[in-house]
Amino acid sequence: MIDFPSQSDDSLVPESLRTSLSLLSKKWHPAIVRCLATSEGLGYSDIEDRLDNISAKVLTDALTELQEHEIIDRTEVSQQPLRVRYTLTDRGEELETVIQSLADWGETHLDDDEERVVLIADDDTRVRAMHEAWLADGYTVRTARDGKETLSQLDASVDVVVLDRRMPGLTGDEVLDWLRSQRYDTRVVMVTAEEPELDILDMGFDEYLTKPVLKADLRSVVADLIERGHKDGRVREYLALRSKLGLLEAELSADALADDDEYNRYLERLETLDDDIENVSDAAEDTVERLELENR
Amino acid sequence: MRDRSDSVDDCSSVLLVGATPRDARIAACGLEREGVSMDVAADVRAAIDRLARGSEDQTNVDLPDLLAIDLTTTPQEGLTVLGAIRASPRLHALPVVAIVEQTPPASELRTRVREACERGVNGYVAKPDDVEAYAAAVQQMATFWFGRVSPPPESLYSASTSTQYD
Repeated sequence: MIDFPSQSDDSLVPESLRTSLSLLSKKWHPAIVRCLATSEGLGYSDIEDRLDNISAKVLTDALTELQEHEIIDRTEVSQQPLRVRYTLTDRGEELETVIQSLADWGETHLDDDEERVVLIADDDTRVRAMHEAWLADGYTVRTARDGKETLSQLDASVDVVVLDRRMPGLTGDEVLDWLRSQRYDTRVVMVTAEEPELDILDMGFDEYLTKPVLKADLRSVVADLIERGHKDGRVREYLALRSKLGLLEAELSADALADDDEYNRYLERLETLDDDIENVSDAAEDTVERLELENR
Repeated sequence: MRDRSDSVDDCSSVLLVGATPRDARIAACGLEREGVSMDVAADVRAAIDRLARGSEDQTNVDLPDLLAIDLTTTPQEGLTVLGAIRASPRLHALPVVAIVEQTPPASELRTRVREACERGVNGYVAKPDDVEAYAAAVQQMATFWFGRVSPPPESLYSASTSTQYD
């Protein structure tokens, strides 16, 4: 039985809620309900098979209790030998939908509950505060006002760095080199007032935003980079490269690019990755969609 | 990777961070007597650039065997580098020695040393005012680290690779 704080006001946690919660919080009850829901009725040993590690005594007790609450029905199929079949009652079916929505809710809200840390490094106090405010609802946000502070704030728990390219002390480029050389598993979006030039090809960022950054853009890029953190290294490399090449194609003339050896080398690398990765658009649907919209 | 002769490869090296040029020369003299080479990084930026370059290569030959942070003049530089190293997936196990003033009262010295140790310093050297005494102290430190103390059998550096951007 769940131990709720004792309180005089039963309207908050009425008896009915206590009882149903205590049923759901039993170790095997939800599992039994769900395995019956996906079948036309199961025998005792069928259930036993499906629930690994359940002892016969515990299963018998659980089935008895569920029967008492009329969540499941027990029908004797034959007397000699005794064979029984368990099925969900109508109220059992209703309970199953409740369990399903609990599972859905958990998937939506609890799986993501893992703390996501975004580090905003910018020497402009107002920009820093604004970007922090834009991201504060979804992430744990750290801030740094120069390169050294960025180093002090950086550790393996940082998922995304929003990195200003020009900062005093240590520049964003230098922080980025450090971060990559140290094998940080961290995604980086470079934020800068400069238009991208060919030198960005050698830089290890995942995305690039030109100031002034719009709220919607920053939020969607950060959300996308958090997602990319789950993906395979090659998919991440592919997406970073694709974003870079897309930027350059939008900024520079096709002639200038065609003459650049490095650009061509990276273009080839992109094609190789594209061939290697099975179905890139499936692997990173959201990013590919966003990049295509941007480059249009 | 730089092309090096075997004898140079075998040579232990120290990266000294945050020391004045004068102190750096004295420290280099002390290390030379033990056959240990030294690199100097005047500030955070130089140290980070140096370590980032050394980390790109998987072989670790361009990484120092010991980091010495001079906390006597600009303690914040050395402590920032220390923090960056301890947080780094690649260099977190790099041994770091702090160089501290010998002059402050014992209680203050203890506080400073404890603070540095809490941030991950492996040991400290109190710096004598006398030039020769300082060189000797650094030499003894090198004897201890590179003569007395055996390194762990595995490399201290994590060579694990995540995404490589080439």
